Amino acid sequence: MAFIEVRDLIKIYYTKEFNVRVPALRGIELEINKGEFISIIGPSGSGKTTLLLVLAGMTDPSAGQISVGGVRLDQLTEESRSLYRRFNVGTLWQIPNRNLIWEINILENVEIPMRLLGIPREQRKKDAKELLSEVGLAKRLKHKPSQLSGGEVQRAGLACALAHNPILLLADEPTGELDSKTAGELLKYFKHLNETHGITAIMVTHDFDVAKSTDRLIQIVDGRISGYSPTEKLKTIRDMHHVYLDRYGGIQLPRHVIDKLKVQQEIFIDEEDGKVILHQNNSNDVKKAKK
Amino acid sequence: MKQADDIPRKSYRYILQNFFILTKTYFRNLSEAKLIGKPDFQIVMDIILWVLLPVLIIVLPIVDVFLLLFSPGLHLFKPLFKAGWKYALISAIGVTLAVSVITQYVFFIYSYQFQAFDLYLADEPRRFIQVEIAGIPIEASYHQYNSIDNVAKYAMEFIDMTHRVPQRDLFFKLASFTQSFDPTTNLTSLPNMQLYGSDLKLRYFVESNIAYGHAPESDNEALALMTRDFYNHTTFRNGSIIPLYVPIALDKSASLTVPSAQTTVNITGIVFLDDLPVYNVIESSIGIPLEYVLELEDNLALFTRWIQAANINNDIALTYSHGTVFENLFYDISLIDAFQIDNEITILKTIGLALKEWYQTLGGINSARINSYLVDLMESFKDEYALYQTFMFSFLAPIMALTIILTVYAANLVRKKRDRQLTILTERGCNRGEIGSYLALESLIVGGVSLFVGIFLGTPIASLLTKSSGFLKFSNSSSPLRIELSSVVVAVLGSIGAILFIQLFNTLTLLKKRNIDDYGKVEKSLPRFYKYFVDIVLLLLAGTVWIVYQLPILTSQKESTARYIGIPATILMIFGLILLFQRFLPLFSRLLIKLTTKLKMDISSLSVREISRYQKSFARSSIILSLSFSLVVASIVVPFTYQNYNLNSAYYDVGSDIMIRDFPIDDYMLKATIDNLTSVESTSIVRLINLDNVQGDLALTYSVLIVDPISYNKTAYFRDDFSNFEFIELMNELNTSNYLAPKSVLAQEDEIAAFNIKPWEDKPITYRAYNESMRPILGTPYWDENITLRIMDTFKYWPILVKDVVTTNVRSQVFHFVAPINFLNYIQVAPFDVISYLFVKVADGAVISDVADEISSFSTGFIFDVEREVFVSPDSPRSSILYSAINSTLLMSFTINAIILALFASIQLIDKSKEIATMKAIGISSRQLMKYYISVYVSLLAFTTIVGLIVGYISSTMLMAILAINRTIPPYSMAFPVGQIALVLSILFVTALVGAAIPTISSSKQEIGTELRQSA
Repeated sequence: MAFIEVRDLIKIYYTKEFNVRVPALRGIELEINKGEFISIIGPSGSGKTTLLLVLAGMTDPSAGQISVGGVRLDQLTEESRSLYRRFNVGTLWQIPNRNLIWEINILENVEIPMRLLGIPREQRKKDAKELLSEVGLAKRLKHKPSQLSGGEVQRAGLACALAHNPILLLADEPTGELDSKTAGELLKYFKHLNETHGITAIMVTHDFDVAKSTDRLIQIVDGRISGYSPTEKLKTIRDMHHVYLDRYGGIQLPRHVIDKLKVQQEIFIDEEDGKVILHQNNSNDVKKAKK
Repeated sequence: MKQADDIPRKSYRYILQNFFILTKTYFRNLSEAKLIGKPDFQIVMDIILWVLLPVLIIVLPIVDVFLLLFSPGLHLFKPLFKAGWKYALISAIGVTLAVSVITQYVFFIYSYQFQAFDLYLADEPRRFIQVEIAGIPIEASYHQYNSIDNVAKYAMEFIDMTHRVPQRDLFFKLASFTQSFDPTTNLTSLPNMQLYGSDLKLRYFVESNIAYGHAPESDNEALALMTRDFYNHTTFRNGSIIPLYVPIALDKSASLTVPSAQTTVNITGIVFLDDLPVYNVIESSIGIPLEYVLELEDNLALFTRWIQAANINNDIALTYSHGTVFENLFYDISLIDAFQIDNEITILKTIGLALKEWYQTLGGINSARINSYLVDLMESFKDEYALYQTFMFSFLAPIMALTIILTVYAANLVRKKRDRQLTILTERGCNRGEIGSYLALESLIVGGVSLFVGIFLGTPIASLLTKSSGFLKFSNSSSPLRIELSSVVVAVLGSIGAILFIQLFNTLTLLKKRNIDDYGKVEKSLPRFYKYFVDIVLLLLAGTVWIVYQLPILTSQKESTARYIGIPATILMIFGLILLFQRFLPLFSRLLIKLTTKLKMDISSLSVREISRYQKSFARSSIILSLSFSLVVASIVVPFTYQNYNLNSAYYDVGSDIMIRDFPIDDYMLKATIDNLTSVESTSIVRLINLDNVQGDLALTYSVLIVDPISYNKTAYFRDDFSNFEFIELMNELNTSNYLAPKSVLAQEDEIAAFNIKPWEDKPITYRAYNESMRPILGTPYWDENITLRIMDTFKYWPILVKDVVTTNVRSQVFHFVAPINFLNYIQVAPFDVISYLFVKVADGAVISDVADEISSFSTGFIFDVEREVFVSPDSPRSSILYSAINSTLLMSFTINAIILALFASIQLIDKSKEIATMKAIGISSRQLMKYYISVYVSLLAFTTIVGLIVGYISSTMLMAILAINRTIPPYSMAFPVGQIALVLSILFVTALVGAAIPTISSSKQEIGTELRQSA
């Protein structure tokens, strides 16, 4: 039996104000083994984050079965779901202030999940410091999130997500707001954790290069799984230089495209004959990328 | 016999009346074990009300503390408190304000409670119950003295009221000794004089205050009591021997011959009445002047021991040595509980009944009459106190509501920030129990701190309120603050109640599940409750309740329905109107946009759009600010209207700026001296005669005010609405009637309407005429005389020339007429029955009371002036409760307005820090940014000021309509003191703006980078 089993998962959001029902997940079937590192890709509004929320026990499924480590999430009470999250799940979100409490320092932030587990003060402090050292923030323990750089904040968020030693790590576009170097470091650290601690990790991303480095890739379109990697179907999409627009209007070019075109941090955009043209700022060469 | 303590307290009824009575009665019941002898159901009710309720209020927080000690959220306390202390502080400010409001009101009201009646009596000190036994033979022995005194003593012991009546005084007064007029020589050697006989404390008191001479020791010796003025204007000295005559005019059975009995009295000493200390027998804070104790009517009296006075009486009496004995029972005023005034009145009435019964059964005296001035005073005090309470409660309720709304509003504003923290916790696996218990723990800390700080702040404010002596004016002339254990307990319990309510609301609000993506959403609609037409519902409710209040069936119950129906209707109307006006906020915003665009005020034009964009937040702030402004307007308009009414009433009591009663009209020199004073503009002699007629058991009195139309026109005070006619027209009519129709009079509209008489009709009257020369013919100088009065015109109300306390038991009907000065030539009355007055009008710029003092330095007679007759004059102790309502409302409004706008601005700026940073990034200067935000707040304040003025005035009109004074004469008219309102509103405006400017300034100084990062 797989560590995570999702059968015919349906999630429908209901907007009371406009009396509208929006189906976000329309019958997801999924199996993930213990210790796997999975990435989920798909366009905005395809249901990636909803799937993550369901797996995190943060939202109720409308129908279907979800079992994580033998625990049926669809049958848990709210109280049990809290305990499930407390002991088993670590989350890391794209928006930094959703991972950390902005008004306290990062050491205190990392200690919170440990407090929930009732870890004694001394042990808690020691573990939190170790964890922050591990993510390279040993000298920034007393800093508040507002005093850190974007990458540091995400690393602190990761430390927070791992503070209670979870068996499942869920990350929603964790590299979305990071430069490629920092993103690469964070990803490396993800892999390291996955390999050394055997944590099952699921990551939502738009970046094929990021997704490529995971064990398996799942594509969701319109609330349904449209492909797995490595499969033929997914490869076809990959060959089409397919990129997704995120909810903030941002796109992430695949790593091989960036390397090939030598695109720097700053580029200029032009529109011509219904096509979007990216200019490099240090050259007059016009490189085209199909959207 | 019914005992005073058996009077059912009906305490369960008072819970509905007010919370303070409840707690006060609770303590009293516990200490005096009042439950004994009550029916079972009443005991059960009492147990529920007096024991269970307070116990619950005390036990609940204790249980709360225990729960929190083992709270599942305790382990989260440190980081969460560190993360949220700023928001907890904002909440604490609101709660502290609530506690401070409760504390100041409770301390003030409790402090006032037992001093209120004492303060009231500062103006009317006849604080005793008097047994008057008229026309009994006075014996020259102490046996009679003791037996009369002992009846009262035994009666008090029997009804167990000796603790309430700590002292009694017995004296007699010779009623037939009121004039030393000799009809044979037609000379008045001395003015009115009474002879008093007394012993023990009263005698020692008088004898220990002799200015010149010594105490009387033998027969025909007496002390002379007089004013210093009288002493200075006469040759009357100690050692004088004065001849005493019996006034024939007052002894109906006497013949016209020279009085057969006459005697002389040696004056051994002089006692100056004005130099006497007050007669303070029961350690009250306010003593009783001797004139009141002795019922002294004039400037001179003789006072000696009981036996000596009885002997003088024997020498001069024509028939029997009759006199009137007075037993004064001094009531301990400090035990009078203003909140239970009905019970106090019942106790006093019971004492009166017991006295009457004991004098009849034990003393064999059927003519004993009980003059309980205290009952009269208490009943009028009850009205006044009810009026003040109405003031207090009608302002207290909205202020409390305002404070609670403010706190809840503050909690709502910070909720957004807390939401984010709590969402992270939830995602990390925190359950609702842990978050809930953490929030409860935080509330407990906030509540505890607020409780102490609130009480700490509330106490000096309460002390300040007791010193409220005028509009935003405080002085030491009022009562001191008295804090008792019971008031502290009530303040603490009330505060805990408020804290529990507020914190429960806050915790529940924060515990609500929220979608994190709602954060920072533009709120482009009015608050949700507008969907349910809450404003319309409130207005409909207010209208319905008001209609019920106006129902004719409730007219007789107006006093009691005012607080329970009238005030709730007013409060509903205030809230309804304020909510309704918020619907115009978007329209107001659009108007401002158009205006600012037209005036090319680019920044302001951009900023006022915020009102539409963040309509929900602005509407919420606007509701609180409008309520605050409305309260301020009402708290100025209502008392000013009331004070205006007071001044008008004083004028209708006095008749002109200054009035001298018993003015010696033959003393032309004196009148000329007064006329020649530079501070006096004009004077007029006015005379009053009461023509009496008794028909069966109904006494008809035709009270005729006789005026000189020309001088009266210049001197007297009249409001425009006193009649349907111009004052000058009526005076001209009177002047003409001097020659044409001498028995023509003006009549009071409602009095003649009751008898279906119209103007220009004749009214035949019969009165008791007097002429000394008729005595040989009729055997008495009195007979019934018929005359016909011509009613020329009518007036609605006319000066009453200072009311006396009515003690008569006879059913009476009084008709008030005004007649020209020669009216006296056509009627036959005793010269001593005509009361003469001098009306004085003070010149512009002169202080009325100063002129009155100047006149009193050389004139005799009783001088009244308008300033001293004002019912509740500023600077008097009684004014403190009236002005405390205004001043506390103003102080609270200043604070609340400043806090509310500061909070609103802070939260808005926190919310929009990213926007501000972006604006700065595109080049907007700090100054322009300040202009941007200040324009929004000025617009909001302008809107709320307009709403406040409208709602404040409407609610004031409703409040005035429910106050008891609307049934009195003259009717009140609404005041609108523009100066004061403008002053206070501008202070409010500025304080609120300063409150808003502080966070705006600090935000505009913030570095862009830091701001952008923090708002990430």
